[in-house]
Amino acid sequence: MTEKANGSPESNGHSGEYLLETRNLKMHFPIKAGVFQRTVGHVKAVDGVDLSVRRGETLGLVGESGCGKSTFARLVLRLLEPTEGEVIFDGEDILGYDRKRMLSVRRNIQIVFQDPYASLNPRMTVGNIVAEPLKTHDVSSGSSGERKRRVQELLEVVGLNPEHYNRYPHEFSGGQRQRIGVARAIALNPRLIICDEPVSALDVSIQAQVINLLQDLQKEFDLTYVFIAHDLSIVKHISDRVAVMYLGKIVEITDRPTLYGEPRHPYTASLLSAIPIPDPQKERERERVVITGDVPSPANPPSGCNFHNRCPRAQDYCTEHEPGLEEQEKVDHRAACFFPVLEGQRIEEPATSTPYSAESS
Amino acid sequence: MLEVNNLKTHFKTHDGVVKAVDGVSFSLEPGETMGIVGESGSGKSVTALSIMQLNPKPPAEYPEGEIIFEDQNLLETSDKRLQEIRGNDIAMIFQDPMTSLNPVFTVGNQIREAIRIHQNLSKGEAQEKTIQVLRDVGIANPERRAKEYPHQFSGGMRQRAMIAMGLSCNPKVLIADEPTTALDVTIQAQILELMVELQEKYGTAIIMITHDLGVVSQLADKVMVMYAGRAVEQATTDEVFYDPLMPYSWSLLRSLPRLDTAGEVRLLPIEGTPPSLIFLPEGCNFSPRCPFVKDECHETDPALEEKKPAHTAACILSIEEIEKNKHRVDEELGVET
Repeated sequence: MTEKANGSPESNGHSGEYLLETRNLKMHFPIKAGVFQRTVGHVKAVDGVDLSVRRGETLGLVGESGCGKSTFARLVLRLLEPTEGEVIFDGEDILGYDRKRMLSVRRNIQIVFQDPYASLNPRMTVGNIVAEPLKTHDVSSGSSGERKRRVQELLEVVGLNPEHYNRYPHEFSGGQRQRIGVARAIALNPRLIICDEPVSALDVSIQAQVINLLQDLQKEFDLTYVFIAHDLSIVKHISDRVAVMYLGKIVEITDRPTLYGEPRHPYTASLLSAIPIPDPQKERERERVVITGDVPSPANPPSGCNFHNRCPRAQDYCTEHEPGLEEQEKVDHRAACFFPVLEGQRIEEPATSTPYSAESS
Repeated sequence: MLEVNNLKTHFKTHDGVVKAVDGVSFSLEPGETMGIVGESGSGKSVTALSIMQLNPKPPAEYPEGEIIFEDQNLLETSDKRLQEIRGNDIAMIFQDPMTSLNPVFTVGNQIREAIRIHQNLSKGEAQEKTIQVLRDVGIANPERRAKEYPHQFSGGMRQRAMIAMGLSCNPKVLIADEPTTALDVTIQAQILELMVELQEKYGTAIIMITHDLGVVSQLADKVMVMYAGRAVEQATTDEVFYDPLMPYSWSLLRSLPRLDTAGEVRLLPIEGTPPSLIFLPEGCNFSPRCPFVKDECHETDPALEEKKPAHTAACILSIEEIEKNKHRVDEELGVET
């Protein structure tokens, strides 16, 4: 996992290490008003995201609702056209691709959606749902017998009865439907799967089934995952590296042990402290930092650092300057904060030092 | 104060009788917090609605059991008396704060209505009280906010307003049905902290219904685990989390990625799905999914029995057998014990 982390990753401009990169990716949705539908503002759903996903890894992307996680997923697949930026898949910027070339890219990038009730067409049989990508991309060509065999094989891989290919989605439970969604996603042997909250609609006892399945498939088919979730425990369980998003921006990114062990950004730290742990003893001993207020509207984000109005450490400096995603002491650990939480510090301790590497570096 | 004995809530449908709650008993002391955990469809919410007597009759029926609140059986109380108890002595907060507030009335108006129904206050006094409870739950600028409509509130603030309404008459029991499920974690932390604060201030007993075991371990003094309409384990929170004696509770804890250990061990998948409440399995309800199952489980329906002092569980396995099985599965998962 971490042996890949040698050398400075950002200096490496080649496609070698990374399967997917985004550079300064932005999605600003216009807000229209009035009789003439004039644009009166923008919802900055994704606002300058640089992310690199290594081959074979699972990158977790966490954040609260409305932070732009799902929009990011749609941008990578070009289900939405970004306002600005680059999406580089396997060394090539795919944003300029026409429909035909895009089709070949989509063969390699697939998505598993959040809601297994809404993402499967209720009027198609499971066999047809799973076979659809095969038809669209014209693989296992010609004979429908061959295609049927492939579909049954896929159903078996995800732990469903292959004899059920003639049934409709409503005949399956939530967990089983999500397995169908996974079967559809792996049908084309993609290299990258974007999992957009794949288990949050499922009951707790079913979540583990789907998470284990995703982990097994990754090993078996050498898949790369971008795993989007709001649940930091699930992300911790499945990810090699984790990025935390807040109001359309990445605020911290590093490998799993560092993010959960030594978070630098006060937002990450307070998110971690907000999650209840199913262990009464630990809960009694825990000191919880409760951050106040709600997530601000992405149409009108706060000045300077986006997080300053909720941040327990914020200084005047934060309201005027916008922090960049700066390298921390560890290689491969970046956080966007002027006054990062240092080792042994409490989150709510007001920072007094000079702004972190803002001018010095 | 509140005592539920062998409560059964059944719904008559065309397909058969849905045994949504099938023999649940517990008691609640003033100032105590009880957690009810279980998956969707396990009967948690119906239990809550039965206490409030809010299940529509028909199709709901209460073939057996009693709900004793301050020496009266709520199942036999007149509607008029129930009106007085509901909201005044026993209040409830629902999961979705958007659908539980009326969108065409201001928030202040709705809280004032609850106050005026239950307390003999003039309009002006009720208005004052409304502002005060809104301030209590941490809403800034309550005078202005009381005049606003629910859509002008964020999710967290709506839930605060619901709590304000629930607590406006100083109820003795507050039933919170998944109060934070629709909220983000940072907002959840705010709401849970608020509930603890208000409980300390008013001495309210809380029934906390949730599927989140973390929330239970943070708040509850004791826990009832429900599965397919039955209570399958009841004990103090520590007992249930550190020494669960029903395979279902134990499996739930092992199936959960937890912040403190996540990524180091494989999760235990609980195979299959919860049973239909019309056609329950033979023998133990959990037997088709149980990792500790043995042949007798498919024949004998276990009753809730005291396995240890003040710790009941519904399983025919002895404590030794359960411990042996836990050890076996833990080894397979790579959990260090």
